[in-house]
Amino acid sequence: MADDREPPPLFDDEKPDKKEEEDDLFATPNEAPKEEVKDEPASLPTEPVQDKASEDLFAADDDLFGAQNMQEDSAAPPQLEVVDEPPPEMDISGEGEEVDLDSPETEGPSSPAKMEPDSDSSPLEAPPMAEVLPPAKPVTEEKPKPTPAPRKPSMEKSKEEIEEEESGDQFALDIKVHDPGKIGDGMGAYMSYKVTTQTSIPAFRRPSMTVTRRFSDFLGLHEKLSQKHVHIGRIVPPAPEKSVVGMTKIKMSKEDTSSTEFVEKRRALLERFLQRISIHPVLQMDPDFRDFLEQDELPRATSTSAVSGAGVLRLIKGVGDTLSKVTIKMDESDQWFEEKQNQVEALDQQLKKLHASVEALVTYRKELGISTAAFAKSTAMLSNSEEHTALSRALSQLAEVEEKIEQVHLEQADNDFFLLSELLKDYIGIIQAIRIVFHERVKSFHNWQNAQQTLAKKREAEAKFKQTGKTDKIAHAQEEIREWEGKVEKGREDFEEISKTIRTEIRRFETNRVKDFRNIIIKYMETLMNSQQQLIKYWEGFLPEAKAIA
Amino acid sequence: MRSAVLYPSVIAQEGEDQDVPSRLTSTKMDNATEETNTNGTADVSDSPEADQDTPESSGLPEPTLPPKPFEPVFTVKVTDAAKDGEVVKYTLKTTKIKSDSEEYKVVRLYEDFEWLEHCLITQNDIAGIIVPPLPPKPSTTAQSAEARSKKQLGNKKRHGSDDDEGNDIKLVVGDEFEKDCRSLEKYLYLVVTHPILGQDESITKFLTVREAPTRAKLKKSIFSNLSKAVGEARKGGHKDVNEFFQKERDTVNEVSVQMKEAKENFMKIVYGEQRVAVGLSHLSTALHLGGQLQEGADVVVNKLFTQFSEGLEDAKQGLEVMAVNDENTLGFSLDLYSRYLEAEKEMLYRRTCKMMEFEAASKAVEKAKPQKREMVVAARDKAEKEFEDISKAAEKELKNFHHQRVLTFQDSLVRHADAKIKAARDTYALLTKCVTALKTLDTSFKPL
Repeated sequence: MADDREPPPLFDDEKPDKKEEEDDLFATPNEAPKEEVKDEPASLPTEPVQDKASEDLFAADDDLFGAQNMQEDSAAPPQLEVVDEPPPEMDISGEGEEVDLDSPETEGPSSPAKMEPDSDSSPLEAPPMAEVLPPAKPVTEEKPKPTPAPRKPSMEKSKEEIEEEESGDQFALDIKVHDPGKIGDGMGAYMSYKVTTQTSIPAFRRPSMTVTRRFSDFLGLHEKLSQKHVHIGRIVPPAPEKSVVGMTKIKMSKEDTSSTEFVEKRRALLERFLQRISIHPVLQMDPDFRDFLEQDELPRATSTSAVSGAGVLRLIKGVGDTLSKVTIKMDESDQWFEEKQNQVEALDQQLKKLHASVEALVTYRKELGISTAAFAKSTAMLSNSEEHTALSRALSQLAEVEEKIEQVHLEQADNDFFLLSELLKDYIGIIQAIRIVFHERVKSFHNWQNAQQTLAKKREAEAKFKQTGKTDKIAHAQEEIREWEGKVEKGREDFEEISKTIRTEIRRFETNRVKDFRNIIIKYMETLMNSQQQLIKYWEGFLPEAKAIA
Repeated sequence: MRSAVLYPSVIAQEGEDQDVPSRLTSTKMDNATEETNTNGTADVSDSPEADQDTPESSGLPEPTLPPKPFEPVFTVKVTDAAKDGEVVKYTLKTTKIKSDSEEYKVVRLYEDFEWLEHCLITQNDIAGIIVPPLPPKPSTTAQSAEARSKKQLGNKKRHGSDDDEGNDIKLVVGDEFEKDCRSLEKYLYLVVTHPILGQDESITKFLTVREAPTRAKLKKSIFSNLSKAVGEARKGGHKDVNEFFQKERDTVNEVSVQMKEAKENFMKIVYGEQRVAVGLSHLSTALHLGGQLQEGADVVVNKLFTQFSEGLEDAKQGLEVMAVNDENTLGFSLDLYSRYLEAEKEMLYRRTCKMMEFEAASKAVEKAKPQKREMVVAARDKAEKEFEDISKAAEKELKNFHHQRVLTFQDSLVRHADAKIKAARDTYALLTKCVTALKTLDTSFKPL
């Protein structure tokens, strides 16, 4: 996953508050390599990576845009903006680049004013925006190529928008999970993993570190991140799956190929989990995440155990959520969300089908490997019985070739699995996380509506008091009204906030999806090519032996 | 002389007078239509020499080697197999080696081949001969096709083997005409080039006469197969007087089992390759069932998937080609020799029987009473001569047999490796193109 370096995100901050953040940054002791007047704000360690300001500062996305293979597109490095205010432009799709331009020169200031009124809609104002875009294009094209790190603040007009760009390896977070080891024995045994991080992000204490973690630590991390981020609409990479069967085998010290496979599968899964977090501009800066990578000792995440108190609570909450999913209906006046949800569901279906096909392929290939091995043995036996020397030698060579080919098949099966199958599974999991944030948005809407209803009731009450002349209660009622007006306002803001966040998240998801799939597909095709090359090599080696028989 | 125990229901035929074996339909009888000539009427050939003359055979067939080195008279190709109802008709094209202009085209059924084999066996002294094995009858019924499919492709319901409604996609392997043609062709080649069998007139008739020879029903009695097996088991272990032969017997017993196993395992590889090809094909199809949106990331992903799917199709084709080639090269030889080694075993067994007869006759001489002595000695001498004859014939035959075997395998292995290399290279080239296309695919999109 994170093989490709993420060019450090670049963004321009025109916002005054950004400046402050920078100051803060300088204040923090961590900053060693603080060369650029960076938009380090991303490394807003000091502020809770909560909201607007810190959105998506780092384009954690790998080279999809510009850096790697899109050389052709380098002209317009894709930018993902996180827009702080929810200007309508957000819905604009850029000009063919993954540019979520809401036109740099646009209504920065006006956008706040343009705040969508409670009619939930950030309707797709594509048309109006469209005009804006073309002009935007040249602007972005002027943008320096990803490589030059310093982002010239002048480049960006839109104060609210922070544009992310890859610009070399400046703020890379390279994480590897390795060296799985079994600790302990019997039912209390567990696997531990080493997590090594290389980073140039100043917020980290050291540029490179290694810690030891166990599976429940990963689950604990997921738990913490979920609690902080999901309810505001961020897609948190799904937690790695527990596997009772796999782990029990390990605990029982069953050393066979399936348990080694299981361990490798899990190791790779944990690595991808961390890497996905690391490319998320906000989650990347989460202090819990940092602690996970840095701290030598972490408090045991006991609440991740299925049978703990927290586990039971989770279960209950899960049930509650499921019910509410069914009961809360939301009048979706924002078509974008409706379309997106449909799209996500369709994608889910497709991925599941693909996953089934890939699993079948893996099985077939493994069987082919086994058959090849059996034939190799038969051939060896024939070679032994053969009296004609040259033929015997050739048969013996054939047996060796077939053994090597068995390995080729098994390796290819592994590639089928680890590249394709796991990728599909990951995305099916991410889609689940997406469903969750969509649901959070519905909950937020619901809260807002409830607040509105309560406000209406309070107003009614006040009116009644006025009517019936209960002046003593009026003041109180008016207080409540004010209180609830505030809540309504907050509810609306929250709802819009989460809607905006989700849009950004979805866009990032799409971008990542394209990139991931592209990379994996290419890598996989290359493994297919490699297999062919090995076949060529082995058979070409055998040919002279065969010719020399007589 | 043949050992009567081996060939069931043989209507006895002496080997000496074979120009016009009374048993066989002579040319006269070919013309007569009183017997059912099942395929005579459906003859599609228009051979120049549709006449009924039998070209001369190259001499009197003898129980032992002919004085002059044998040269095969014919080259035969089995060019086509066509199904007519449940019956498969094979078209044979024959040319005379010495004069290319003489070409013959006939149509035969599998049963005609069986009859040919029967004639060869019964009209020649095949004692010391390793008789080329006739390929088993190809199955053409629907049930056998299904059975074959199950064997090759597996009958477990597998993931991805459903169509959209979850119905099991039945993958049925097609009839293997191509393979059958080649097997029969090889059989004819072995027969035609055999120094002794190749002189048999039945071959000439079989290859050149438009109407198929009339056949008598061949009964394969179960009982005699059984007694044959029991006999082999009992006598097969009898120690040989000759070291060379003892070794040969031991080896063939071992190798014939191994060869069969190798062939089975090899075919599993071929089926395995076919299955993976099917898996790739399913995946490739599933990639096409993409999102329907025309904008946004889905467009790009669909483009990626389409290209990927093409790449997978390339990989699949490569595998299919490999599977076919495998079967035609090494698979073919393994199959042939699995059966041919059985023929060798049978020949050695015949010799062993003769050896035991000789031993028994020798013992009888020792025990004979004076008045019977002369008879017994004569019997022993006869047995001795037969044994020597068969041993001589067998030795020569074995030499040829092994020589041919080595050459055949060399040829197969070389072609096998060549085919693999070519297929792999071709596949690699196609995959390279695909990867290039993938890498240069424009993955920009307008986020919705």
